[in-house]
Amino acid sequence: MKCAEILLILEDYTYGELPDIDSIGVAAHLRDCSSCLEKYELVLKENETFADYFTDIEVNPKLWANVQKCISSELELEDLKNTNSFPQNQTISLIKPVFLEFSEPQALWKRLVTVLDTTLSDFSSNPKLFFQNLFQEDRLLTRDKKYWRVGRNIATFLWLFSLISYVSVIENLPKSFYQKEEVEKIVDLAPLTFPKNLTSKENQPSQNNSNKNSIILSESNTYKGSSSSLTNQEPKNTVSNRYSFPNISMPKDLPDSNLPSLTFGITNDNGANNGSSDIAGSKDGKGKSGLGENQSIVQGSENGYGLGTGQGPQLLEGDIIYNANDTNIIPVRVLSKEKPRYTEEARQKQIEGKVILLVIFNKNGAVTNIQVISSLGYGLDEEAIKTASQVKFLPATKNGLNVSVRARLEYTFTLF
Amino acid sequence: MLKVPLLTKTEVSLSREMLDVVTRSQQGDKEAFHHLFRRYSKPILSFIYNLVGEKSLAEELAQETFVRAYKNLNNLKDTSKFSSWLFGIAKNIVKESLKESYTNQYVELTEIDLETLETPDKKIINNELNQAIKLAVLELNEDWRIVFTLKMFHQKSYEEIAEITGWSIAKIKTDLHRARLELRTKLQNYIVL
Repeated sequence: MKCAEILLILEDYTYGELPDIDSIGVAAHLRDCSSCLEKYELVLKENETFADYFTDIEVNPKLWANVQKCISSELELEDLKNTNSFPQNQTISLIKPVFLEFSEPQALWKRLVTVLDTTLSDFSSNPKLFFQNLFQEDRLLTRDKKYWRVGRNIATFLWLFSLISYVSVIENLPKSFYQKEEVEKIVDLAPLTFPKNLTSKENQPSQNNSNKNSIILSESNTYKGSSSSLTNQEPKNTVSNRYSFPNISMPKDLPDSNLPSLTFGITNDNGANNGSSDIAGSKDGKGKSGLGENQSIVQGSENGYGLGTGQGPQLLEGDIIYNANDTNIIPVRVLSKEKPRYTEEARQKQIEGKVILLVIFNKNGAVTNIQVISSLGYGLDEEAIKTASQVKFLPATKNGLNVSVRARLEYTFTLF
Repeated sequence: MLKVPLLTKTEVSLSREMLDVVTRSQQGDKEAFHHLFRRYSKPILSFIYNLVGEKSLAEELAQETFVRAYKNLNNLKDTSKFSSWLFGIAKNIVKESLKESYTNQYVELTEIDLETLETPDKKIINNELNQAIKLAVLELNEDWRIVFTLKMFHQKSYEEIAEITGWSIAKIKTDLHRARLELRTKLQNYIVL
């Protein structure tokens, strides 16, 4: 071994901290090298000097007594913490049912209680110190961990705050605010759809679905003019149509003589059977078509009302229909209505006038049983019917119950 | 040449006994803890005194060391390292106190020197050297002082110092070497070959 190497480990050799192999090497080198031996002796002398150093201090007999005092006071403090009688327990008991409702594990609850206990006791004992400690720099934590801790605390606080506020709001809200029934009423006021079979040819009625008191709404060109379906004879079988009128018992106070003949006519512009007109005649012959040149079907009931025995979706059997002028009912309140559009053909031919419809404002919030009283033709009637079916309204009420009401709707078509 | 300190049979049996005492005091036996106090109070007190150089402060810090040790006894997993653990606590407490009142320690040093003149006869001869060493050690860098005190005055091995301080053995070696060099220059008048 060289001298430089020896000097590096010489101190360790004097302390006896070298491994055996190195110690033998150093000892061998020291026997031969006088300069290294000198340095070794210096270090050894130093070591002896420091080893002779004495600390002139004796243990004071009071030291143990002081230690005992401190320990017992510390134990008392811990006992105080464990049996805390601070009124925050009341606060905890208030939060408990809410907390347990959202988190089932009891261990979590216990931990929360202890954390709250210590926090509140710290705060109550010395609020100033509490805030100082809260924002004091913790040397053991890195900056990231510190921010994470602050963020976690804020998140926990916000979570608890939102939880408590949510529960308190739900408890104090009136029940009607979020009850299902109320919502359903609003849903009833959704826009109404235009009956499809007024324009499409899909739902063609059976030829044998006529009845003595039934009126079937159908497109004129789907009907081939067979009179057997429009007779007043008793039908062999009754096929319910989606848009056939339901059986409605009329109020007795309605005078028959003042009631107009209710007709429904849709013009056919194809002109395939010009001049021919099939009338489903009523007994008193009031159901007449005002559409002379166009093919049309007019169907009437015995009394001239559009009332039949067929089943319909809007009105149930036994429903009473009131007049709009009836003073005993709270009238229909229209929420929204649109203007009917001019058809291109009517515009070309400069057709102007009124289309008058008789409709029933259903108690369920739908416009049903639309009948044309005064027709203009050229597609304007269909536009009027389409617009009328889209009216949104609040049903009329009588004694707090919704009722169906019959009313007249007039649509004026004018060219500018 | 210094003799390498080896554990004798009695020391080994004593340490086994101490292990039992430590475990008993961990279970809350106050008498066992008192036994530990009697065993370790002097080394701890002298270690602290070497570092702070003030008697009353050293006693205060030693008291705090034992109180903290009692509170945290259950955190000690390896009972065989109780000594290192206790010295580690003492080191931490001294460091904390030095941070708090770093400037005051030298002011009171002269007063202590006068107090400590009354010593046994055989030590009067070396008293001057003793004071010189004490002052020189207290002027050392804080880390160097801890390492030097533990190694030279308490004859702890590198491993034990590493356990107490939590530093690497390389750092301990360099600190010790630098402390030696500094003390050599300061005490060159006293240490004569």
